[in-house]
Amino acid sequence: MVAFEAVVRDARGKGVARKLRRSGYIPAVIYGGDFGSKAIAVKASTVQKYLKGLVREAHVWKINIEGIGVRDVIVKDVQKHPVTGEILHIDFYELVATRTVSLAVPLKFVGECIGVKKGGTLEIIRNEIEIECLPKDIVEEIEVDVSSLDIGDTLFVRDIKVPEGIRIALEPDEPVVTVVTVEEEEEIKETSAEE
Amino acid sequence: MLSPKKVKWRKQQRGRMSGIASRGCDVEFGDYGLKALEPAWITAAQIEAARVAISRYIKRTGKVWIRIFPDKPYTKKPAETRMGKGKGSPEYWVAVVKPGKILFEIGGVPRDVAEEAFRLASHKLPIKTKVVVRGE
Repeated sequence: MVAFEAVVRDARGKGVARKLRRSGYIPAVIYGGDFGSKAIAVKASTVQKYLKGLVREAHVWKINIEGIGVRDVIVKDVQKHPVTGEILHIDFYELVATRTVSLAVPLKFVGECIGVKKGGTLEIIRNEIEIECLPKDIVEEIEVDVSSLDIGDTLFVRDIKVPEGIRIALEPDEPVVTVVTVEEEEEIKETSAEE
Repeated sequence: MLSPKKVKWRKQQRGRMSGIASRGCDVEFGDYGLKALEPAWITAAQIEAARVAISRYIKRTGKVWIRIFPDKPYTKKPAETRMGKGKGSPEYWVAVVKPGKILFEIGGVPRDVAEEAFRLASHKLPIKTKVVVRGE
Protein backbone atom coordinates (compact mmCIF):
# COMPACT_ATOMS: atom_id res chain seq x y z
CA MET A 1 0.00 0.00 0.00
CA VAL A 2 1.30 3.43 -0.90
CA ALA A 3 1.72 5.47 2.26
CA PHE A 4 3.03 8.80 1.03
CA GLU A 5 2.04 10.94 -1.95
CA ALA A 6 4.74 13.35 -3.10
CA VAL A 7 5.69 15.74 -5.88
CA VAL A 8 9.11 16.83 -7.08
CA ARG A 9 10.03 20.37 -6.02
CA ASP A 10 12.54 22.59 -7.74
CA ALA A 11 12.48 25.67 -5.58
CA ARG A 12 14.60 25.61 -2.44
CA GLY A 13 15.06 27.77 0.60
CA LYS A 14 13.41 28.88 3.81
CA GLY A 15 10.66 31.01 2.24
CA VAL A 16 9.71 28.33 -0.26
CA ALA A 17 9.64 25.68 2.45
CA ARG A 18 7.33 27.82 4.59
CA LYS A 19 5.00 28.40 1.64
CA LEU A 20 4.93 24.66 1.00
CA ARG A 21 4.01 23.93 4.62
CA ARG A 22 1.22 26.48 4.46
CA SER A 23 -0.14 24.84 1.31
CA GLY A 24 -0.36 21.39 2.91
CA TYR A 25 2.97 19.88 1.91
CA ILE A 26 6.08 19.02 3.90
CA PRO A 27 9.50 19.50 2.29
CA ALA A 28 11.48 16.28 2.03
CA VAL A 29 14.40 14.73 0.25
CA ILE A 30 14.84 11.27 -1.24
CA TYR A 31 18.24 9.74 -1.85
CA GLY A 32 20.07 6.43 -2.05
CA GLY A 33 18.39 5.26 -5.26
CA ASP A 34 19.22 5.33 -8.96
CA PHE A 35 18.39 8.96 -9.59
CA GLY A 36 20.59 10.38 -6.84
CA SER A 37 19.23 12.98 -4.49
CA LYS A 38 15.93 14.68 -5.26
CA ALA A 39 14.05 17.38 -3.40
CA ILE A 40 10.39 16.47 -3.00
CA ALA A 41 7.32 17.66 -1.14
CA VAL A 42 5.10 15.15 0.66
CA LYS A 43 1.40 15.67 1.31
CA ALA A 44 1.09 16.66 4.96
CA SER A 45 -2.11 14.63 5.39
CA THR A 46 -0.29 11.38 4.54
CA VAL A 47 2.62 12.26 6.81
CA GLN A 48 0.36 13.04 9.75
CA LYS A 49 -1.44 9.77 9.23
CA TYR A 50 1.63 7.54 9.27
CA LEU A 51 4.38 9.46 11.07
CA LYS A 52 2.40 10.87 13.96
CA GLY A 53 3.76 8.73 16.78
CA LEU A 54 7.08 7.00 17.18
CA VAL A 55 9.00 7.12 13.89
CA ARG A 56 11.05 4.03 13.29
CA GLU A 57 13.79 3.83 10.73
CA ALA A 58 13.27 0.09 10.40
CA HIS A 59 10.01 0.14 8.50
CA VAL A 60 9.69 -0.07 4.73
CA TRP A 61 7.23 2.45 3.28
CA LYS A 62 6.00 3.00 -0.25
CA ILE A 63 6.11 6.50 -1.64
CA ASN A 64 4.46 7.61 -4.86
CA ILE A 65 6.34 10.49 -6.43
CA GLU A 66 4.51 12.23 -9.26
CA GLY A 67 6.39 11.66 -12.51
CA ILE A 68 8.77 9.09 -11.01
CA GLY A 69 6.54 6.36 -9.65
CA VAL A 70 6.25 4.20 -6.57
CA ARG A 71 9.45 3.55 -4.62
CA ASP A 72 10.33 1.58 -1.49
CA VAL A 73 11.86 3.81 1.16
CA ILE A 74 12.79 4.01 4.79
CA VAL A 75 12.47 7.18 6.84
CA LYS A 76 16.07 8.13 7.66
CA ASP A 77 15.37 11.34 9.55
CA VAL A 78 12.46 13.46 10.66
CA GLN A 79 13.10 17.06 11.66
CA LYS A 80 10.62 18.39 14.16
CA HIS A 81 10.00 21.82 15.62
CA PRO A 82 11.66 21.82 19.07
CA VAL A 83 8.64 23.36 20.82
CA THR A 84 5.51 22.42 18.87
CA GLY A 85 6.71 19.04 17.57
CA GLU A 86 5.41 19.84 14.08
CA ILE A 87 7.18 17.87 11.33
CA LEU A 88 9.37 20.26 9.31
CA HIS A 89 11.33 18.00 6.97
CA ILE A 90 11.73 14.30 6.17
CA ASP A 91 14.66 12.33 4.77
CA PHE A 92 13.64 9.27 2.73
CA TYR A 93 16.22 6.66 1.81
CA GLU A 94 15.34 4.70 -1.28
CA LEU A 95 15.91 0.96 -1.06
CA VAL A 96 17.54 -0.98 -3.87
CA ALA A 97 16.91 -4.73 -3.64
CA THR A 98 20.55 -5.67 -4.24
CA ARG A 99 22.18 -2.99 -2.13
CA THR A 100 22.93 -3.38 1.58
CA VAL A 101 21.34 -0.76 3.76
CA SER A 102 22.41 0.30 7.24
CA LEU A 103 19.74 1.36 9.67
CA ALA A 104 18.88 1.56 13.36
CA VAL A 105 16.53 -1.11 14.69
CA PRO A 106 14.84 -0.74 18.09
CA LEU A 107 15.46 -3.42 20.69
CA LYS A 108 12.58 -5.06 22.52
CA PHE A 109 13.53 -6.34 25.93
CA VAL A 110 11.56 -9.45 26.87
CA GLY A 111 11.40 -11.44 30.07
CA GLU A 112 11.74 -10.37 33.68
CA CYS A 113 15.30 -10.22 34.99
CA ILE A 114 16.37 -12.17 38.04
CA GLY A 115 18.09 -8.97 39.22
CA VAL A 116 14.90 -6.92 38.98
CA LYS A 117 13.04 -9.51 41.08
CA LYS A 118 15.79 -9.06 43.70
CA GLY A 119 15.23 -5.32 43.78
CA GLY A 120 17.63 -4.09 41.09
CA THR A 121 16.82 -1.84 38.15
CA LEU A 122 17.19 -2.66 34.49
CA GLU A 123 19.32 0.11 33.03
CA ILE A 124 18.99 0.32 29.27
CA ILE A 125 22.14 1.69 27.68
CA ARG A 126 21.07 1.20 24.05
CA ASN A 127 17.49 1.31 22.88
CA GLU A 128 18.42 0.51 19.30
CA ILE A 129 21.29 -1.00 17.36
CA GLU A 130 22.78 -0.30 13.96
CA ILE A 131 22.40 -3.15 11.52
CA GLU A 132 23.39 -3.81 7.92
CA CYS A 133 21.24 -5.99 5.68
CA LEU A 134 19.50 -6.26 2.34
CA PRO A 135 16.08 -4.56 2.13
CA LYS A 136 14.29 -7.94 2.12
CA ASP A 137 15.84 -8.80 5.51
CA ILE A 138 14.77 -5.62 7.33
CA VAL A 139 13.11 -6.37 10.67
CA GLU A 140 11.07 -3.83 12.63
CA GLU A 141 12.52 -4.79 15.99
CA ILE A 142 14.92 -7.24 17.53
CA GLU A 143 13.96 -9.14 20.66
CA VAL A 144 16.48 -9.38 23.45
CA ASP A 145 15.89 -11.83 26.27
CA VAL A 146 16.98 -10.28 29.56
CA SER A 147 15.46 -12.87 31.92
CA SER A 148 18.84 -14.40 32.83
CA LEU A 149 20.41 -11.13 34.02
CA ASP A 150 21.21 -10.86 37.71
CA ILE A 151 22.28 -7.76 39.64
CA GLY A 152 25.60 -6.56 38.22
CA ASP A 153 25.22 -8.51 34.97
CA THR A 154 25.57 -6.79 31.63
CA LEU A 155 24.35 -7.87 28.22
CA PHE A 156 26.65 -6.92 25.34
CA VAL A 157 26.12 -6.47 21.60
CA ARG A 158 27.73 -9.88 21.01
CA ASP A 159 24.95 -11.54 23.07
CA ILE A 160 22.18 -10.30 20.76
CA LYS A 161 20.84 -12.94 18.41
CA VAL A 162 19.82 -11.51 15.05
CA PRO A 163 18.04 -13.27 12.17
CA GLU A 164 20.06 -14.58 9.25
CA GLY A 165 21.14 -11.99 6.70
CA ILE A 166 21.55 -9.25 9.30
CA ARG A 167 24.94 -7.99 10.49
CA ILE A 168 25.25 -5.80 13.56
CA ALA A 169 27.37 -2.76 12.72
CA LEU A 170 28.61 -2.19 16.25
CA GLU A 171 31.57 -3.29 18.34
CA PRO A 172 30.74 -6.65 19.99
CA ASP A 173 31.94 -5.37 23.36
CA GLU A 174 29.49 -2.50 23.57
CA PRO A 175 27.06 -2.84 26.49
CA VAL A 176 23.33 -2.88 25.75
CA VAL A 177 21.62 -3.36 29.07
CA THR A 178 22.72 -3.83 32.64
CA VAL A 179 21.07 -4.52 35.98
CA VAL A 180 22.12 -2.17 38.74
CA THR A 181 21.26 -1.73 42.38
CA VAL A 182 19.19 1.34 43.12
CA GLU A 183 21.19 4.07 44.82
CA GLU A 184 19.77 5.77 47.85
CA GLU A 185 18.65 9.32 47.30
CA GLU A 186 21.47 11.68 48.03
CA GLU A 187 21.93 15.39 47.85
CA ILE A 188 24.20 16.55 45.06
CA LYS A 189 27.35 17.62 46.85
CA GLU A 190 28.16 21.28 46.89
CA THR A 191 31.46 21.83 45.11
CA SER A 192 31.19 25.42 44.08
CA ALA A 193 33.79 27.17 41.96
CA GLU A 194 36.42 29.06 43.84
CA GLU A 195 35.68 32.71 44.13
CA MET B 1 23.36 21.75 44.44
CA LEU B 2 24.90 21.74 40.99
CA SER B 3 27.61 24.28 40.28
CA PRO B 4 30.81 24.43 38.22
CA LYS B 5 33.95 23.14 39.94
CA LYS B 6 36.15 25.79 38.44
CA VAL B 7 35.50 28.80 36.24
CA LYS B 8 37.80 30.98 34.20
CA TRP B 9 35.93 34.21 34.97
CA ARG B 10 33.89 34.85 38.11
CA LYS B 11 31.29 37.15 36.58
CA GLN B 12 29.40 37.05 33.30
CA GLN B 13 27.35 39.50 31.29
CA ARG B 14 23.65 38.78 31.29
CA GLY B 15 23.07 38.09 27.60
CA ARG B 16 19.77 37.51 25.83
CA MET B 17 17.40 34.54 25.73
CA SER B 18 15.85 35.10 22.31
CA GLY B 19 14.80 32.25 20.04
CA ILE B 20 14.31 28.60 20.76
CA ALA B 21 16.66 25.80 21.75
CA SER B 22 18.36 24.01 18.89
CA ARG B 23 20.27 21.43 20.94
CA GLY B 24 19.10 19.17 23.73
CA CYS B 25 15.54 19.15 22.38
CA ASP B 26 15.03 15.38 22.17
CA VAL B 27 14.71 12.68 24.80
CA GLU B 28 18.04 10.87 24.48
CA PHE B 29 18.62 8.77 27.59
CA GLY B 30 15.35 7.86 29.28
CA ASP B 31 11.83 7.13 28.06
CA TYR B 32 10.14 10.40 29.05
CA GLY B 33 11.30 13.98 29.23
CA LEU B 34 10.21 17.32 30.66
CA LYS B 35 10.41 20.00 27.99
CA ALA B 36 10.62 23.75 28.64
CA LEU B 37 8.03 25.85 26.84
CA GLU B 38 9.35 29.25 27.95
CA PRO B 39 12.77 30.86 28.31
CA ALA B 40 14.17 31.30 31.81
CA TRP B 41 17.20 31.31 34.07
CA ILE B 42 16.71 28.21 36.18
CA THR B 43 18.67 28.31 39.40
CA ALA B 44 20.64 25.45 40.87
CA ALA B 45 18.21 25.39 43.80
CA GLN B 46 15.22 25.01 41.47
CA ILE B 47 16.93 22.18 39.59
CA GLU B 48 17.72 20.43 42.86
CA ALA B 49 14.16 20.89 44.16
CA ALA B 50 12.73 19.42 40.96
CA ARG B 51 15.18 16.53 41.06
CA VAL B 52 14.27 15.74 44.67
CA ALA B 53 10.54 15.91 43.81
CA ILE B 54 11.05 13.42 40.96
CA SER B 55 13.25 10.98 42.86
CA ARG B 56 10.96 11.04 45.93
CA TYR B 57 7.96 10.17 43.78
CA ILE B 58 9.55 7.42 41.71
CA LYS B 59 11.23 6.13 44.90
CA ARG B 60 13.71 3.35 44.21
CA THR B 61 12.57 2.57 40.70
CA GLY B 62 13.75 4.11 37.48
CA LYS B 63 16.53 6.52 36.71
CA VAL B 64 16.61 10.31 36.43
CA TRP B 65 18.79 12.39 34.13
CA ILE B 66 19.32 16.14 34.56
CA ARG B 67 19.86 17.61 31.10
CA ILE B 68 20.69 21.17 32.12
CA PHE B 69 23.58 22.53 34.14
CA PRO B 70 23.74 25.86 35.98
CA ASP B 71 26.99 27.30 34.66
CA LYS B 72 26.12 31.01 34.63
CA PRO B 73 26.92 33.04 37.79
CA TYR B 74 24.16 35.33 39.04
CA THR B 75 25.55 38.42 40.72
CA LYS B 76 23.84 40.61 43.25
CA LYS B 77 24.72 43.85 45.01
CA PRO B 78 24.35 43.88 48.80
CA ALA B 79 21.21 45.47 50.30
CA GLU B 80 21.16 49.24 50.86
CA THR B 81 24.12 49.84 48.59
CA ARG B 82 24.38 52.92 46.41
CA MET B 83 24.55 52.33 42.68
CA GLY B 84 27.91 52.16 41.00
CA LYS B 85 31.17 50.89 42.51
CA GLY B 86 31.25 47.93 40.16
CA LYS B 87 29.36 44.73 39.59
CA GLY B 88 27.99 42.79 42.56
CA SER B 89 29.37 39.52 43.82
CA PRO B 90 28.21 36.08 42.54
CA GLU B 91 25.26 34.81 44.59
CA TYR B 92 24.23 31.60 42.89
CA TRP B 93 24.31 29.72 39.60
CA VAL B 94 21.70 29.54 36.85
CA ALA B 95 21.12 27.50 33.71
CA VAL B 96 20.01 29.45 30.66
CA VAL B 97 17.00 27.60 29.25
CA LYS B 98 15.27 28.34 25.97
CA PRO B 99 11.91 26.92 24.81
CA GLY B 100 12.23 23.36 23.55
CA LYS B 101 15.01 22.29 25.91
CA ILE B 102 14.65 18.95 27.70
CA LEU B 103 15.19 19.65 31.40
CA PHE B 104 14.85 16.19 32.96
CA GLU B 105 14.47 12.65 31.71
CA ILE B 106 13.13 9.55 33.42
CA GLY B 107 13.62 5.95 32.38
CA GLY B 108 12.43 2.60 33.68
CA VAL B 109 9.05 3.69 35.04
CA PRO B 110 5.51 3.49 33.60
CA ARG B 111 4.12 6.52 31.80
CA ASP B 112 1.66 7.52 34.52
CA VAL B 113 4.41 7.50 37.16
CA ALA B 114 6.68 9.61 34.94
CA GLU B 115 3.89 12.09 34.24
CA GLU B 116 3.06 12.52 37.92
CA ALA B 117 6.75 12.89 38.83
CA PHE B 118 7.16 15.56 36.15
CA ARG B 119 3.99 17.31 37.34
CA LEU B 120 5.45 17.57 40.83
CA ALA B 121 8.80 18.71 39.43
CA SER B 122 7.22 21.35 37.20
CA HIS B 123 5.81 23.06 40.30
CA LYS B 124 9.39 23.69 41.41
CA LEU B 125 10.29 25.42 38.16
CA PRO B 126 9.58 29.01 37.09
CA ILE B 127 8.36 28.09 33.59
CA LYS B 128 5.63 26.21 31.74
CA THR B 129 6.66 22.71 30.71
CA LYS B 130 5.26 19.65 28.97
CA VAL B 131 5.96 15.93 29.13
CA VAL B 132 7.36 14.34 25.98
CA VAL B 133 7.99 10.72 25.04
CA ARG B 134 11.16 9.45 23.39
CA GLY B 135 10.88 9.33 19.58
CA GLU B 136 7.49 11.01 19.41
